[in-house]
Amino acid sequence: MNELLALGGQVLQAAMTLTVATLLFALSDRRLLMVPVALQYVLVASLMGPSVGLPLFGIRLTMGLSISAILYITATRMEKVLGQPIRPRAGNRSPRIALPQMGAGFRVLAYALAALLAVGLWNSYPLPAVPAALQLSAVWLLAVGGSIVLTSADPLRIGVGILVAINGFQAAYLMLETSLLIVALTGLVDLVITLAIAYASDRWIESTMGEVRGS
Amino acid sequence: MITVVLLIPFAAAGITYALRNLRFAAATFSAATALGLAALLILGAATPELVILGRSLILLPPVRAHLAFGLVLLALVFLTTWHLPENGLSPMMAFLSLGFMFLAAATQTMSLSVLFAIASAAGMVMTVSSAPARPNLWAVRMLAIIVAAGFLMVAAAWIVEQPVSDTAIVPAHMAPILLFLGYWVLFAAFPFSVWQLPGLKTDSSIARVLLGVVLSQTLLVQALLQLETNLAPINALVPVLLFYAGMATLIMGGIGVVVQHRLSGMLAYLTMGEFGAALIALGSGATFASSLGTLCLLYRGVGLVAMSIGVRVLSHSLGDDDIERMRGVFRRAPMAVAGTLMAGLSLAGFPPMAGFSTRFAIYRMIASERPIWAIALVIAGMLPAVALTRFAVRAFQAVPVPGSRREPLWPAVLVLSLGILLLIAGLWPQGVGTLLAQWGDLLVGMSTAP
Repeated sequence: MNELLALGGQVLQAAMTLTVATLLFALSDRRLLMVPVALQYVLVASLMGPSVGLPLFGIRLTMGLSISAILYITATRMEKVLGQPIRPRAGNRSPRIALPQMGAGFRVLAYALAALLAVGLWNSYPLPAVPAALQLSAVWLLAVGGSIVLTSADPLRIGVGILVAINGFQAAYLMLETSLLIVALTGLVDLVITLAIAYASDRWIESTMGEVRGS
Repeated sequence: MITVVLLIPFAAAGITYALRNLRFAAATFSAATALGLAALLILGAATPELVILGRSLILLPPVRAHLAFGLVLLALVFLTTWHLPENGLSPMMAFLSLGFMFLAAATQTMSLSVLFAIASAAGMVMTVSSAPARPNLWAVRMLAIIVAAGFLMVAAAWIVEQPVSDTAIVPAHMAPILLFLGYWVLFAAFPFSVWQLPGLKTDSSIARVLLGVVLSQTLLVQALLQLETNLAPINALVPVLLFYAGMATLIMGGIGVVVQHRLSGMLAYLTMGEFGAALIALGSGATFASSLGTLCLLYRGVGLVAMSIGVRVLSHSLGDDDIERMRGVFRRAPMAVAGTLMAGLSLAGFPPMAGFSTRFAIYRMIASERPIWAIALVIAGMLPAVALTRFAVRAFQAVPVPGSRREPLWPAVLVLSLGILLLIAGLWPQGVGTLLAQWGDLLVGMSTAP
């Protein structure tokens, strides 16, 4: 932490934003989960902006916000369906669908450990070609994204983890590879993966509801 | 020609989306398009390179031949969706995946090729999740593994393509290792085969062909074609890794089949085991390695499609593919049972089916140098017999099957025809070899040994 404070300026701002985003990732409400998703896209795009120029900044920001919007629609449907009481059959006393999930406290702890690991990696293996704040964001998002994937038990949350990890990877990669074609294609891949996550979540909701109604 | 080939899948995706509620029209259109694309790929041998935005696009002959093979299998599967309906969006997602896979195979810039391959695999995951299933997280977990493999390959591509002045940032010798590791994960050899199994178990023949044939084979062929270029620093190691990964995959496939209680599970592990056999052949370094490995892949593809359609026909007849439900099913679905058994026996490498000729050659090759390993492989290879016998014993019982339906004619005839094809190829391998001589030359036209 002393190294972070010593660097000051952009690195400190990035670390604070990432801390807030990481805490928000632990929230149970899936719709609110889209706030840190959008926040990390804005953070990475704004950190990349000065180095890559306005057009690429615009592409990344638009892409990030579009992804957040697509996921928000799925999250809204998921909250609505999973939150509604199930008409109980004889002997079924469960008022709504219960998913086997760890609590918010466990998630905060897991993500905090991932973030500490990220700070350690950032401190030990610097990449000269990538600005310090962006590099910190990259490893932090990779570690937290991986942690979300490993500790989640519903497809949307796992999908969010995948997208956070991808954003972390791209934060470093797009600083090294600034070709417009590559940036556009990474955006396309992000969109396809987001659609796959949204579609898989939707199918999961349908099969879960089918199973609950059939039981 | 190449522009047309690259654009058709995306146009077909749009049309199949419009036809999603017209089952017959969607099935025939999808099958005709897939066959037309396969024909274009085979006939367009002298297609010149296309350059767009300074990036060259070309489909090399072995890649074209394997893609065409995958398309023919996909066309057969599309045709059966009229009688055995799948999700209306599956053909659209299949064509999107194919479109991205064509771009990945054609693009000679590595980073672009890798990104297209990831997009294609993500499309295939969507096809997997479109199949009816109990609630599970496999689709997103598959996606997580594909993305992780993508990270490795994109990093490798950046190291390969970076300017010489940047070489100090990352050691250049990491590139081939990261690249091959990415390929290894994506074409699903041991220990990474596990990510593909849920996709192969799913109740969708389209998803099975996409994952088991199009993705695995195209990426395997691409990896082998890069042995003299991007993978050159480790081209002595790659065949060795393929050989040992193949042995482990074959053994895992054999053990996995025995513990399955569903036909779809048996199909998944049989397919995995046969892929292991192909990897052993390709990595053996023998003079006939390419032709033997390619033949394994061809028989595996046909076996996968035959058994996949057969399993769906039986599920359609009985409402489930649990082996315990198969009692007396031969009376209701004789052609599907016969075809499924023949395909299963071929995938397991039993005589007199096609798979036996390749499997026997592999056993003999290994026995000449390492007899103990050959015995282990033969034992693992015999295990599927237990599972297939369990299925056959139940299927041929003379008991009534209440609530069952008769098999749909066209898919059942197709399953039986493919099973008979595998039988003929097993009894008269030279005949098939002569018929496919020209295509076979293209398929085996790749280097495996340094």
